[in-house]
This record gives sequence, structure tokens and C-alpha cells, in this order.
Amino acid sequence: MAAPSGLLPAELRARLRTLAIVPRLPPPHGPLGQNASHQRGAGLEFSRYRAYEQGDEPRRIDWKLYARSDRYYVREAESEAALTVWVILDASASMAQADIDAPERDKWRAARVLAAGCIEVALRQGDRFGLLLAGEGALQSTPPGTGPRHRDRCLLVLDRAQPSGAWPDEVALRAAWSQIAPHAVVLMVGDGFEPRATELATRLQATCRDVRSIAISSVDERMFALDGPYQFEDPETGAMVELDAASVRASYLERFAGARRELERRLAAAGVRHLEYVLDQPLERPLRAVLGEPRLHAAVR
Amino acid sequence: MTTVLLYPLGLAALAAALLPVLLHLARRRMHRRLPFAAMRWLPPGRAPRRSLRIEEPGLLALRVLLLTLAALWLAQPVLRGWGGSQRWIAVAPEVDPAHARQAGAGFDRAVWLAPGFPRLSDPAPASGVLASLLRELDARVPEADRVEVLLADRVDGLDARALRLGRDVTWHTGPAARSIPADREAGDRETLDPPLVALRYEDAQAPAMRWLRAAADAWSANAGRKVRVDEAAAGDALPADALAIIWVGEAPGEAARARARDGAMLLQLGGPGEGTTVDAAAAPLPVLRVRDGPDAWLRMPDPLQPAQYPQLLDPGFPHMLREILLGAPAPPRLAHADAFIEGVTKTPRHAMPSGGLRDLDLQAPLAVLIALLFALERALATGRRLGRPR
Repeated sequence: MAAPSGLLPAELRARLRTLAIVPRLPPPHGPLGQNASHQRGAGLEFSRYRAYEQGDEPRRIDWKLYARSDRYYVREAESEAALTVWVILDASASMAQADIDAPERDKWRAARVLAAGCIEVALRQGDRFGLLLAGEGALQSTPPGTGPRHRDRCLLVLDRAQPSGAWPDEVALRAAWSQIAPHAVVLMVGDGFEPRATELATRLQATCRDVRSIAISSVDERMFALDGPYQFEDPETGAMVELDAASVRASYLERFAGARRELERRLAAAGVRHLEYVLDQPLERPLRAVLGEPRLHAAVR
Repeated sequence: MTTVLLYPLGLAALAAALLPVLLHLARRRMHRRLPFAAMRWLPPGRAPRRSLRIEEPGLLALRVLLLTLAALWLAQPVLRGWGGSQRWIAVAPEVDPAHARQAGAGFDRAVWLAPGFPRLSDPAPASGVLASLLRELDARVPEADRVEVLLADRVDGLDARALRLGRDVTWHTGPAARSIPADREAGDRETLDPPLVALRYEDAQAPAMRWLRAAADAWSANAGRKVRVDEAAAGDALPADALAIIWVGEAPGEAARARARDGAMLLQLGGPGEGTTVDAAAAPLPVLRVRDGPDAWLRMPDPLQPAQYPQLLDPGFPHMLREILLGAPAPPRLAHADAFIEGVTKTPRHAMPSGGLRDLDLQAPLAVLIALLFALERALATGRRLGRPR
């Protein structure tokens, strides 16, 4: 079945060709410990040769290949290459928020594009990828797999899903713990409004998962360039309040910025690689910053 | 002391007082609905209420009060009857001005008896219709005030009816400054003195005499339209200024017929029933027109009894008789002041609010109050708008 091509623009896919998901945690059977001795022994499946990159252990260089090609290559075994990438999407009602000036550009659309981009990179790398949608009080999971067919499956799930309802509670989230194996790379895409999502991220990071986070906010939420009397309505709780936008702007911006700073602080303290993304920015940068090399991630906002 | 609205229709402007109420309500509709996920970081605001809500009730009350006062101003309020009871004197313009001013001293209000009732200190104005002016003065002066009227000895401009006023008026007469024009006097001479009817009878005990004497009494009792009756036997001379002759007998005398030729009206009571019947529309009593040679007169043939003439029992019989003899009475324009004063009667007043001649106009102070309140409203409204947080 054909992939929904509208989800990932061709131009963005072209740019992502140079992106690689770089795990920060050492692989489960890495060079330290008993796996080191398995590296050159028989019995471990050879996966591929990978070009040497700064940060790799010099012991892992295959000197025979170096003698032949005069270049440094690192040999990867199947278990090392079995990187699992999980994408957890916030599909609660707050993700449906769009801007007044651009109502078709909502946070959910950006989240889907980011998820599709990540999946595309994982597919290209040969990694396994899985999908978790958290919305309507439940967790919808697509177990990890490889190959284009699995990618199409994930894209179909993304295409059909709609943001609504609330973040699932503790009971529903237990499924996540059993499905996300340690040493997996977890990309959490949401708007950062849900404290339980933040807690999930920190706890996953604390239990040997490599968590990356992108918090999406709309232009109105970040800049609040509204004017005149409005009746604001919370899409998740349904609460309504009548306010004059211009008169509350300063107060709102201060509180929102404070909440964002607190979010960043918490995630940074836990070791989660976090990035803020606003809807009017290009989508390639947050992916590259969050998934790619650490040195490229230089205060990209 | 009462507040009266001279133009009550102006109160229809009270409908405009609804407008601020509607404006203070309408602001609720202007809030646009906006889904906003980051609402938890908005400062707490007002929850939209289903029931009707009025913003700034104090300013709304001030604005409604302002419009109510403006509507009241349009209705021209006046204060009637203030200042207690006052003494008035109204002087007819024909009275000598010096005498008038002297008489006007010591009264609270001294006016000319002329249209508009100018002050006595102004020069004497042209006269108006006296009876109408007296009635107007009586109606427009508050009931509690006392009125005295100073007339010249001859009054001009009377109405067709006797004057009836709603209060007791003290009358005075004074010397006239100007006399009534001569042509006027000539034309109304018969109204200055009551007309004269000559009654000649052949038999003093005739049954018709009884009815005639009763009619004569009625004429003399009617103060406004007196008719003098000169009663004498048939042979006596007729008075020179008699306008009509009643002949009780078989046939009118030669002198009477000669006077009838000159233009006086001759009515014969008695005689044979010959003659042409006069149309009932022309004569109130059934009379016959008799011609004998060049003479013509009216006749009511024998017997003059209620059986033949049921009009004898009608209480309007004297008026019918007078109308035949003298024609319909013309409204008297001139009269002697004493005769006129004698004819004035007091009539019970209708329960209508009287006054209007000395009302206190409330429009000016009300306008000042409205201006002050408007300035206050503007100050409050501007102050609130500036004070609102941006």
C-alpha cells in the first residue's frame, strides 16, 4: 500500500538524508564487558562496516580493512546495530492548537512531520522503529519493526490519528514500560504542557533509555500577539474565561516563559536532550539538533 | 404648589433612557471565542456568565438619570402656585392712566386687562374682548389669589352671554381716558339702553294681559337683555323710541298702524282669525300676517288661552315673544359698567388645574443641572477608560 506522501514533504526528506540518529548511550553489548571479546570472534553476526567517527573506541577499528583501504572502519555486529527508535507522540487535545493567522498549521501536523522524519531516518539506517500515541486517555502502540512496510504502517497510524482527550494515566502508561526496552532511543514529541509526559521522559532517561524531546508551541502561545477581547477556551478541560488580550499579554508571557524554562531545567537535569520548536520555523533543524551529533546542537532554538 | 408639565408629550423622550442600558449590556457579545491550549498560564479572568450582566452600574445609573432629566426638560416643567396667595388688580385699557397707576399701588400684581396681560407700568395697550380677557384672567390666576378689576364707566367688547367667573371679583369703576368711537356708539345704541316695547290694551282685564304681564316681568328680570314695557290704555300716546307695539284688542289704532308703517313691529293679540299663516321657521309663535291696505301687522287671534296656544305654558314664551317683536337679540357689545357688573355671576369651577400667569419656569435651573451632570458623566467615563490596564 502506498505511503501517505503528504505527511513528509519530499524536500524535507531530501535534507534528512544527511541526518543520522546517534545514540548517546553505549550499546547493550558494547566494547566494555564481555562483548568486547565477542567482537572479533565467530558466532556474532556481522552487520556492517561503519566509517570511524570521533568518539568511537579505537579498539573497535578493523585493522584488516584499514590495511586494505587505508581508511578507518568500525565493524558493527548485529546486536550493536539493533538500535530501536521509539517515537512517543502527544496526541492530547492541546496538540490541536493552531495559530489564528495560520489555522491549517497546527501543532499536531508539525508533530506528525517530525515523527515521520525520524522514522525515515531510522529506516534508512536499518534500525527498528516503533510508535506510541498518547491520547484519549490511552496509549496506542505500534510495536517496532523494520523495513518500508513497517514505515508505511506507522505512517498510516499517524495519518489516521487525531489529537483529542487527555494524557493517559499511570495504569495506561505501564504498557510503555514493558514495550520500550532499555538502550532504545526515544523521541518524545509534544507541546510540553503535560507534566506527566515530562515525568515519563525523565524516568525513561533515568532507566537507561536515550530520551530526546521536542516541545512544540504555536506562534500565538509563544508571542501572544493578540488584541481585543477574547473568550479563551481550554480544549482539554473546556474551561472558558473572558479577557482582554492586550491587557494580559505581559503577565501571560512571563508565566509561559517561566514554565518553559522550568521544563528545560527539569529535562536537562535528567539528561534528556530537549529542544523548543515554534511552528513558524523550518522542521529540519529540530530533528537534526535532537537526533544528530551533540556538537551540532549549539543552542538551536 | 404643584409641578406641571406644559408639554407632556416630551416625556416620550424617556424611551431614550433605555439606550444606555442596552449599550452596557452589549459588550458581552464582543468577545471572540478562541481555543487556547496554554490557558493555564493566562491570568484568572471573568468566567462568562449566562445571565444578563450590566457593566459599571454606577455610570449606567448616571447616564439614565441624565437622559431622564433631559426628557423632563423637553416636557417644560413649571412650578405652579408658588409664593402663596397674591393680590391682583387688572385695569381696563380705557381707564385714565394716572388713575390706573394710582389704583395699582399696593397690589402684588398689577396688569392691564389686555391680551398677554402686560404690566401696569407699561404704556396702555390696545383693548381686547373684555369678557374673554376676564375669563382668561380668572382661569389663569391661581385659585388662592384675590383679583380686583378696574373698569371704565362704559365697557366695550362684551360677549353674547352673561359673564360667569369662578371666583369673587372686587369691581371698581374709574374715569375713562378715551371715549368709545362715535360711530360705534351709534350702531350699538339700542344695547346701551334696553329696548322699549309699548303695550296698549283696550280692556285692562283681558285674559291675554295676564300672560303679557308675566312675560314683561321675565324681561325685566333678565339682567343681560332687559326689555322695557310701557303699559297703557289704547288711547294713550305711543312713546317715541318704542321699537315694538303690542295691541291687545279687536283692531289696532291708527297711531299704532302709522308707527308700524314707519318700521316698528306691531303684534295684535285678539281679533278675527283672518290672515296668512307665517311659516313656523320664521316665527316661533303661530302668528298670522294681516294686511289692510298699505298696513301689515302680525296677529294672534282670540282666544289667547293655553288650549289654543300651548306655547303660553312654555317657559321660553317670553323669549319667543321678544324674538317676534324685536328679532333675535344681538349680542351686546357695549354696556354701562354698572349694568355689566351687575350681570356677572359666579359659577362653580371645574376641577381643572388653574394658573399659568405666574408659573415659575423650571427649564433654566434644570438645564444647569443637566449640564453639571453631563460634565460629571464625561469625567467619569474618560477616567475609567484611561484607568483600564493596557
